Amino acid sequence: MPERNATIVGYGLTEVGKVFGKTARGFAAEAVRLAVADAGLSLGDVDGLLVNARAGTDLNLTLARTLGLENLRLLSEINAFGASAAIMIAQASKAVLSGEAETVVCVFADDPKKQNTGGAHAYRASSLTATGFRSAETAAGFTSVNHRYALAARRYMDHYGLTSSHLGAVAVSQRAWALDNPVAQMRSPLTLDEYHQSRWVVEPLHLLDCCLVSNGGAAVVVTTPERARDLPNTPVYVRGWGQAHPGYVLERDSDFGLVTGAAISGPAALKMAGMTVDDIDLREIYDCYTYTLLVTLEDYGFCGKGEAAELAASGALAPGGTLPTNTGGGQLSSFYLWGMTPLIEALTQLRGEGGRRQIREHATAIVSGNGGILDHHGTLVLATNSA
Amino acid sequence: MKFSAIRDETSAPYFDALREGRLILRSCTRCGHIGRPDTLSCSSCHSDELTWVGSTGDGVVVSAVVDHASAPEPTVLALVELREGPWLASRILDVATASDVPVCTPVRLRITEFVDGEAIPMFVLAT
Repeated sequence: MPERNATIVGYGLTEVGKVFGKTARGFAAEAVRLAVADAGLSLGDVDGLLVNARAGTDLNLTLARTLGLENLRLLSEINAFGASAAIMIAQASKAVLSGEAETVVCVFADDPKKQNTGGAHAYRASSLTATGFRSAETAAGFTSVNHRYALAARRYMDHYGLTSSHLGAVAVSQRAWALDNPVAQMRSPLTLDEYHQSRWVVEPLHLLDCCLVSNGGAAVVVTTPERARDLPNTPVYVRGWGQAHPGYVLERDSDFGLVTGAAISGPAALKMAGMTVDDIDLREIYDCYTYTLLVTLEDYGFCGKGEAAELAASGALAPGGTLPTNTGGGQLSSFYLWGMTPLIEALTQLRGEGGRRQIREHATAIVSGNGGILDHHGTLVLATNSA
Repeated sequence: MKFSAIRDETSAPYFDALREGRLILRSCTRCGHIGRPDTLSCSSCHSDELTWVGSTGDGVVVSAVVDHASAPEPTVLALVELREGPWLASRILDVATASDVPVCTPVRLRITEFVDGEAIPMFVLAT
């Protein structure tokens, strides 16, 4: 357990959703400026920058030049897809604790939505340009990540005897949170009936099982606990982190769909923090699909395997429930900026800035990131008290 | 939209075999483990000394999903566990619903040829 905790002192979130007129680089630059200003710092104070970008966008480490950052002591792109945000914060934490850098900004931005088109096409491109073995799967019909997550979800549902209504309970629960989140893209109430009426994307996934697609950017400032004392915001301490990359081999006895990297990464992050799941007030979980939320809660140990669906159906995860989860609506109902979605909501709640959706007990949070088809997992444990 | 299978240097023997009507897998010359055709490192012993071996083409469904947006009609896609152990992500032909292919449904190989692109392995219900 570290004696000192790296400290998050600011965050920035641009307008998100159907926002046009900027590319990913522009959103990233805006998010960095917002985060630095929120921290009570200026760009000249920044000596480290970590950039996470989706391939095919114009965002990369030359963002430092866009911002006019000079004499950086840490600059890199980091990419483990949806796990990147947690991994960036962990890398930034190690850098400030070692003295390699003092003030590190971590940023992600994306621009998949174009005017007059949907956004999903941006996420199909990598499948469709496949050659070799993988192109045989594309030719068979696996043309998007939705198909592969549907395989995982179907296997999980079959194994634990779950139905669409169990997945729907997650969509309904998270929409209830989004109603009180002014930045959420989906702010009209949702019933289970409406969930069932939403079209199939790839059965067993309905449209409302799938995350949104958003343009926008988010950035987070990490510094030393000493520096944080002089800054205006409630400090948020990075108490623990973990990663896990299962390297699933798709053959007999594979755990694919049933157990994810969260089962390794979550306990590792909690152990570093000196906590157990019982110490966690807030669960901000990467929810690219309703299914992903359920399997992650189980792998983290908030309930037994196959039991998260009953938690969702009972209302425990929803406003007023005993285990507040994805309190801004998550990627399903708020916005989709990879791992920044759960991280930004955790910071908002920990700092007590959640407005009408603010949780009363908000001293600790667990934040997850999930990348690829459950291939990469990152976890953060954050708290307003240091170790 | 339709997409074609396109060979590259590594996959050329695989697609050649399919064109000849055979599905081939990777077999480890050190430990004998049989892996997926795209295996480059044995999943059992990490050896990179692999050879090609034929598959029976018999398998069972691990997980099946339905793409309702595919044209002209919905397609059933699945992970199939071959008798030799590897899983292939492919299509189940001549079925229309998920209930046609519950877990453990026996299927058998049907190599499917296309005007554009390489022949690929698909499956039909084993009856």
